[in-house]
Amino acid sequence: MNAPMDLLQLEKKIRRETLQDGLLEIFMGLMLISSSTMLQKNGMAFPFFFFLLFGSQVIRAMKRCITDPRIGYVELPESFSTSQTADRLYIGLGVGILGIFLSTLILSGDIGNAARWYRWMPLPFGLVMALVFVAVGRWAGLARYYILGGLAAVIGGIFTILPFEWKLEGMMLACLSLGTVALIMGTVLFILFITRHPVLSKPGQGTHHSGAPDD
Amino acid sequence: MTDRTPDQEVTRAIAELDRTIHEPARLMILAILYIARSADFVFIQRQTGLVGGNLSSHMSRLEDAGYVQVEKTFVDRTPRTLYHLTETGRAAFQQYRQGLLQILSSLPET
Repeated sequence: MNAPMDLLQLEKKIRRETLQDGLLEIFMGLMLISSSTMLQKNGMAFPFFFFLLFGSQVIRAMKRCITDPRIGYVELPESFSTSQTADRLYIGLGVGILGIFLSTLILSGDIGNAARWYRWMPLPFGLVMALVFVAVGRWAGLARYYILGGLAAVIGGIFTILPFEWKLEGMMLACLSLGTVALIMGTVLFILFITRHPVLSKPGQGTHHSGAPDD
Repeated sequence: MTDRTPDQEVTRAIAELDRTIHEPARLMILAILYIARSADFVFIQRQTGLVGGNLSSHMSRLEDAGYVQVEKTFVDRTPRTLYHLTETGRAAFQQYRQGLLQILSSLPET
């Protein structure tokens, strides 16, 4: 109660609270792993489309049953407070990444070569995933998303450089490795969350008594 | 036109602060609801560190002032009590915040 009130910090703290259960990482991990399953030779598309269509509902149901009884329910606005400088930096980063990728392709003089595109696919994938994780990191002010973002960019770069026999192998392995990291991270966070936070109420419970406040 | 000295202005501004909001626990509750669209009792309790009965009474006070609205819904056939900041509550919180900032900025550093 005696801490100085900084509404921006309070906003980030509330967002961090909602992400501490690790369910977002689990969902992202499963999405990426199912994408790699789909990209395999004779791959299965069902898991990917299942998570794409029903993943958010499953996560919401899990939050209702597991997270809310432990830390309570909060609905946050989608927009968030941020500085203009940070916005410009983020947009600049995205434009810069896209620019570097396209100019390298054009300068290589091989832009029409489909094999080259397949081979280079992990790089834009990694960079786009890095931007996604950085966006979540900015939203919540959580360092682990910046780490995941950096890892996504590195994974994208590595699987672009490494030679593979099959055209989608690099992309498939990039999805699989990033998905596995996200899934492991999410599972560890989920276990920690469950052990650290006992159930405080049945789902949706709320109390409302009357009485004089002690002020 | 009033001929108040700066000291009198500060005193007047302090006296005009909304006392419903000025209490630390209620200020914290309103700050949370100012940021969030809605929150349930458990969430607010965890964030403020207040005991259940105390939080309930503060909530009742805020509800009576028209600053907070209570919405009782059912999720998967279980009741959920959500708290929202009303438009009046939002305006009062903004006014309180501006007032407090003005008072603090008008005071000398030492």
